[in-house]
Amino acid sequence: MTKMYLLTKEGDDLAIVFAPEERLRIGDNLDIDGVVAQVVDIQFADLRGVLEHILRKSLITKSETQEHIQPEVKSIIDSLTDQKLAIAKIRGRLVETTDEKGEKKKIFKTGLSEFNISRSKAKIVNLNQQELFNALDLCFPSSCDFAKTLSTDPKPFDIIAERLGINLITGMKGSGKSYAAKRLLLKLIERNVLTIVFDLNGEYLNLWKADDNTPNKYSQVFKILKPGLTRATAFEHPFLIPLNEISYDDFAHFFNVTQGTPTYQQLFKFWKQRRNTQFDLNDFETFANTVSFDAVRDALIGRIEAARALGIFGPSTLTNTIADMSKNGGSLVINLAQVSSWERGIVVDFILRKLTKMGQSGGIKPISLFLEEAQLYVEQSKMINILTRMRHLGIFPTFITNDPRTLPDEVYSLLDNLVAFMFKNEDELRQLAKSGFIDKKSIDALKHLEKRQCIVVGNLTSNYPIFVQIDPQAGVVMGGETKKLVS
Amino acid sequence: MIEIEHFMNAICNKIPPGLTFEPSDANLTEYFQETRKAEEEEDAQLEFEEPEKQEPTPINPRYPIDSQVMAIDGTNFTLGQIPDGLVGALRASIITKPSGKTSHSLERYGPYLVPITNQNKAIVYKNTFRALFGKENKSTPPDNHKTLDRFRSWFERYLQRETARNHKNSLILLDGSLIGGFVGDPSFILKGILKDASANGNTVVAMSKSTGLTLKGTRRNILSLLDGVQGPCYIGDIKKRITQNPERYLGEVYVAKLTTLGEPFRIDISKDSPFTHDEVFSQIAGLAGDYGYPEELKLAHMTCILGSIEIIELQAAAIGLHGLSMKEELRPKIFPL
Repeated sequence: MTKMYLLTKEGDDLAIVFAPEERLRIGDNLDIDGVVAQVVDIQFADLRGVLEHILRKSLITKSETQEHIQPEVKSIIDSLTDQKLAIAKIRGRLVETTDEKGEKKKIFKTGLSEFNISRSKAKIVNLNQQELFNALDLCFPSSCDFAKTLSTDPKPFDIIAERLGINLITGMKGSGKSYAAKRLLLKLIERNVLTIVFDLNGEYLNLWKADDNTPNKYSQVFKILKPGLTRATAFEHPFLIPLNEISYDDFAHFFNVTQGTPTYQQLFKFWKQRRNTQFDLNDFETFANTVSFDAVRDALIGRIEAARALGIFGPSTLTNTIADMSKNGGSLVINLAQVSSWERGIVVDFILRKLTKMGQSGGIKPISLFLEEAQLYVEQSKMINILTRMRHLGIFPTFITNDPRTLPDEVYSLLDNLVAFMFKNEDELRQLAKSGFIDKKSIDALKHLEKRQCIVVGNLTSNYPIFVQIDPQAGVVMGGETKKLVS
Repeated sequence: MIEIEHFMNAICNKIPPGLTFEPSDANLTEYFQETRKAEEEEDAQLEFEEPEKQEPTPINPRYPIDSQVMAIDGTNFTLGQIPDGLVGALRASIITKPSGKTSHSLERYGPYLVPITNQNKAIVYKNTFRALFGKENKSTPPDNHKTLDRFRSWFERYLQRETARNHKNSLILLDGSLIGGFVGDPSFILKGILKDASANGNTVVAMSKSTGLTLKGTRRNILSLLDGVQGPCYIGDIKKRITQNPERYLGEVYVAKLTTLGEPFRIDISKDSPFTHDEVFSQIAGLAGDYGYPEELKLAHMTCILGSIEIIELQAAAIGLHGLSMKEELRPKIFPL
């Protein structure tokens, strides 16, 4: 028999008093005579006289106090002082229905237009997680090992890949968001989905390793492309952009050639001459040398030398690589760790345009796109393009950031899934509430989460916020290339 | 800690399960709730002659840093009524300020749940007295509430005796007086305490905020002797003027103010103290805090009394331990509004 009692209801917040021996934690779901409420905060019950009681105890230090208490009384002394108050958000109610086969089942319905709960008689029990999952129509795969629910009776939780769309994984530094993103990436590989990762900090470079020397089962479908790399290594390949695959306008933009100037006109002329053919920097240089006006010729040669120095222009098999990898899934990591912000912009812009083109042609299976700290290499307008257009082309972005304020509001209004880890900053918490998935009070619970604990809400959870702890990944080096000041 | 099991076994007896229980009010707005200790002295109806105008003796306060100071106090509370009786709770504290230190330690005994009914009272009364003092008590127990208070009084005396017996060269402060020889407080107990204290070089000081001793002429309380007088000071030579049963007064009796603006207290001091009573007053005035009451006695009191939260917990414990069922109150049924 549980010792939980309903104290108050304010809006959709229920205050529930419970005895110290009762096990209850943030994330638990309670069934209160059919009403489902989720614990988002736990406090001490504020009883009158407790302050005086504690002050009196503090008169003599604990180490200087010896007590002889009647054994039968011992367990109850201080039980009132330790009464707790759980703040639980009403999420909805469980309703019994009959399915097509005539079988009775409980389904979850949001909203609560009636509130016929007795404060003194209501039976409050910890809702069985499986019962909740069934009511939410969440059927996880048999190899369910992504996470465990945060509850007094933890249950396995997994990502239902079919429910992924526009996703946001966020949390303060060190909260475990990158770890979760990597676990999601490996899950997608297992579901034969290709994920292209813009890896800003070299976080994903070791995912193909079982340990420092041994490749793991993902290594065969794992490819790293690095801009500026002159020669391929065992697991890294140079990232190159064929010059003919960018427009004269892009080139002008990348290398700061002002529109309408004679240099710009010569660019235009070269690209027009070579339209629908393959060309490279050598071809462009040959053309530049034929320009009679010295200043324009020098300007063009200067740009060509700068482009050559970057080492990112050259023949590329990227289109084929993406097309091939999208058939069976895998991961294509674009290592942006040692790339300047200018080059980053060129690389990312090229890939996004390439994906758009491939998506439009229908030549690829749906692709997942991981954007770590996207604000550092994607302009806002292009980010909105990713959100609004690319999903229709079968390209599903997952934004990963430690500062949710850096993403445009459109991300929050179009988001399908939110995976939020610990935050302490009020501004960041408020920003997350913009998703509309979850109220501010539940978001505030993020303050109390530990490393690798998060809240998942959206399509993945039938819009019911579920608190989970990410499970550890076996057989994969999850750490990135981070260097320490002192090791 | 003092050996207490035999006392607990005697007093924490069982009652038949299923009895109804009507809990006493435990108002959470009143943080601490206690029952006033019964004044045995009032039962004795003592009077003494008014002394001639006497000048108070000034006290020179001196904190007894080199002495061990111990203070003992106890409390009882009626948790609720059961048919033919009550369930009460007892608790007592011993505060110690070690020699050479200004810090305090606490030994606390209780709470103990004490069910007293008209049926079990006589046997519990006898067993408890025997358990504490090793002798038979042939008197009959008073009403249930007074019996609970008497158990508290015996318990305090027992702790006082053990303290006087087991500690040396200490100043032992008690709440109450050094009067014995009543039905509920036979003189042999206090005499034993004072004898043990004397043998161990201890000084016993009992302080009382009220007293039944009155001036014969005016019928005013003896505390009025210091009306309008600023402390710290004391008036002595009171015992020799007591006209009724002076043999019950086992210490010297004084009225004193221990601080300049402090309250007057009746203070009894054991006769066989290794210090002069002047020196004893210096020491207890050195310990006095707000209202002229020694900090150690204040701590003993504050740590033993039951807070309203504890009372609710103990009521729950009593219900669980003795299988009681809450009595439905008739009043709301008759007066539903």
